[in-house]
Amino acid sequence: MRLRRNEEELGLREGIAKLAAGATDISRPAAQNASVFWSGLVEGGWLGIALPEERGGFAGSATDIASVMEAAGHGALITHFLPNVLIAARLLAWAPECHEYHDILAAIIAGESALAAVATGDWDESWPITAREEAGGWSLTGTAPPVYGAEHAENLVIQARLADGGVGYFLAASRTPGIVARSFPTLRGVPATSFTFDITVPASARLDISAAAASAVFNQALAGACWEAVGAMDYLLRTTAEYVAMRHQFGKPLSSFQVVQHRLAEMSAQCEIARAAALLASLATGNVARATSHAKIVTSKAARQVSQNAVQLHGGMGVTEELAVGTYFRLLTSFDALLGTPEQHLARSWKVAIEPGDFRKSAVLG
Amino acid sequence: MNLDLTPDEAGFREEVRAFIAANLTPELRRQNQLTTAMYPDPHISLPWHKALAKKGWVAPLWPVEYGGTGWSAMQRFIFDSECGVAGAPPIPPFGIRLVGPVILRFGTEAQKQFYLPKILSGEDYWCQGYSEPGAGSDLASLQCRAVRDGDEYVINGTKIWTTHAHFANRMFALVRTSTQGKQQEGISFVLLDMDTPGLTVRPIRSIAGEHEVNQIFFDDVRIPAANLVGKENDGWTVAKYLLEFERGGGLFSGRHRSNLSRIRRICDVLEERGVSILASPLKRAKFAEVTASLDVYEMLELSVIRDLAPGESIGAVASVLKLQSARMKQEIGMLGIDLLGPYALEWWPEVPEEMEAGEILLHTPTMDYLNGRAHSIFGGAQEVQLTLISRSVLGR
Repeated sequence: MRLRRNEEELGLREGIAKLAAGATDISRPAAQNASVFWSGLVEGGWLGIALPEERGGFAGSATDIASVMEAAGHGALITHFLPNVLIAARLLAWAPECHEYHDILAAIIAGESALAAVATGDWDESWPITAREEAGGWSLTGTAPPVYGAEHAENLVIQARLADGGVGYFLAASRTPGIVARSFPTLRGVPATSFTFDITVPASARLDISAAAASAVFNQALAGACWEAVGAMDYLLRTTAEYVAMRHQFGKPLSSFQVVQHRLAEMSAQCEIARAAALLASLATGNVARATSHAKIVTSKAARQVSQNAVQLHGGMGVTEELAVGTYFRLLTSFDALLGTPEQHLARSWKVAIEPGDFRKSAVLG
Repeated sequence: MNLDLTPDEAGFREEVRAFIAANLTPELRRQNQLTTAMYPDPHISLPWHKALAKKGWVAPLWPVEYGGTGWSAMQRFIFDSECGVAGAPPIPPFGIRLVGPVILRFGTEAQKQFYLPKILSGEDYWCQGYSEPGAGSDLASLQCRAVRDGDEYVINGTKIWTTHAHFANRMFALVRTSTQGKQQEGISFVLLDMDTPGLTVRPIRSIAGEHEVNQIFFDDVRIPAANLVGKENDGWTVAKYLLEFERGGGLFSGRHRSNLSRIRRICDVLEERGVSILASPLKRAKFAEVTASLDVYEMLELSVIRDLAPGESIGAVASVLKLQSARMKQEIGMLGIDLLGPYALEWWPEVPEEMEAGEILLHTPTMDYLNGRAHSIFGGAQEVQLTLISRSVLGR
């Protein structure tokens, strides 16, 4: 077992942290910082981190992905990295026929908005898109819950439920007649898009992605999302500690009041817990569904606590747009519904960990 | 980073499992499963202690030359996890984990020679004289007085919350040897025998009805001056060293997990009797939520101890672990009574002789919940831990 980053992993983290720090300018809107960060990721060739070498990437480790996501969260640098690279591109990369889509994958690594995923992990059992086999093709219908990263996407990987109870993945151009898209701004600071499908695609549009491969992609994305939340929580802890030390009321710093100190201590404890959760999600090898669902459940709770305390301790300033606290508060609020709600993960936990009795075994040692 | 065990670690784990399979008798396991107090009575823990001692595994935190194991932090984690999950009785910390390291660090050669082997073998059973009625969280305000008289100290005063004093033959205690200067400067750390004339033990029943803790009264109790550990009036240094072990030296995720498994087992037993608990999606969600917390807590424990050398204490982050371990215990306690609802109302402060083990098992969640409340109080109350954590956040 190795819980320290090795030289290579340390080097990557340092590079990413430098990039993120350079992109973060508090006088600019968060979206602008994010786009500078994104350009840096593209120019530095970092996007290949998430793809295997035979697909044009450089196969970074789970720890490397954690480094990128944590730095992004810390700077509220929300980009297409999670939805398009960690999810859409990886789904496509696992399809055996993906050599046909080499251009799409290459475009993603080059930072173009080539592909988005209208898909979800196996925690969602009521996914509303269905696919029906027809002569020479498939008909896809239904309205999907909003997804990120799709506002400019040229192509979509669409997940659909099949008549036999299985799951299918289909590739379609986003401009296909019969696809209605509505994009809107969100709490996350980036747009989401909801899609309604009433289309027919040729049989060749079906991607042969196994359920296990898709699960792995979404579980890893979940780990990434947890690291993003950890980064954001850490920022809030630090900035709140500075604020209460600087702000005076009743003739003394807020940090001299024990009730304030204890709120800060709770935030700190929750940050430690969230970090442990993200570590577990990234590094678990056995029952990964158990580890990632449990990490998501715990991180959601921690994110609520830390973000609410941060706003509370900033007083009036906490509920304005004058400080970055608001941006982070909204970002962490959006974390709950990112990649499965806590309820969905509780249900998955029952199925994969508790009912079968796995929970009796160590989460770390298996 | 990765969580895969190295071949050596995997081999060690197999060795631990084989040891448990060979030495943890079904009877010991059953008795431990029925235990709801913080520590099982000596008739349950001592046989396990002796089996570990025979194998040389009873004192992982000690230096090898004194009977320690030389384990890495990872090996300690594997060992504690396997023992916890298997339902092995926890070894009370007072000898092995608390006074042992103190004697090793501050004791004289004679004290080491005399006490350490008896701690290892289980011949001596220790208790801890720290808190007093007037000195809880504010431990430094303790008043129990020790006055030097020739080659002896004469002790007068009282100690409270003394776990297993009614089983112990020895006690380590903090006593006031000076009232000059700062409070912390007049404290000394002493060792004493429980059968010393003038010492009496009064049982205190816990909120669950169990007898685990006591109050101790000292009336002119005379102990040899040679029983002082460290320097006179420098006991606070010793006390702080010990507190670090008390707050962070233990790994509890395995024990917490075995408590959680016990709740599931009880639900299964009730199911056989036609009472369906876990058919409810709401109750399933509660179970899952606590399991999620426990899985993450386990990772927290591992990530905190990962770089420790044998014998090293974990420092400031100990407070986060202490806080969280107590919360974990209490979350599991609440889960038990929440799931069982009216079936958790039955409470036997004293278990009737004729009650069968299966029946006692059904009542463990109630006891667990009641006893669990103490976890955010002992070893430094939650509020004290929060203040300590906030100091490190604010950099003071």
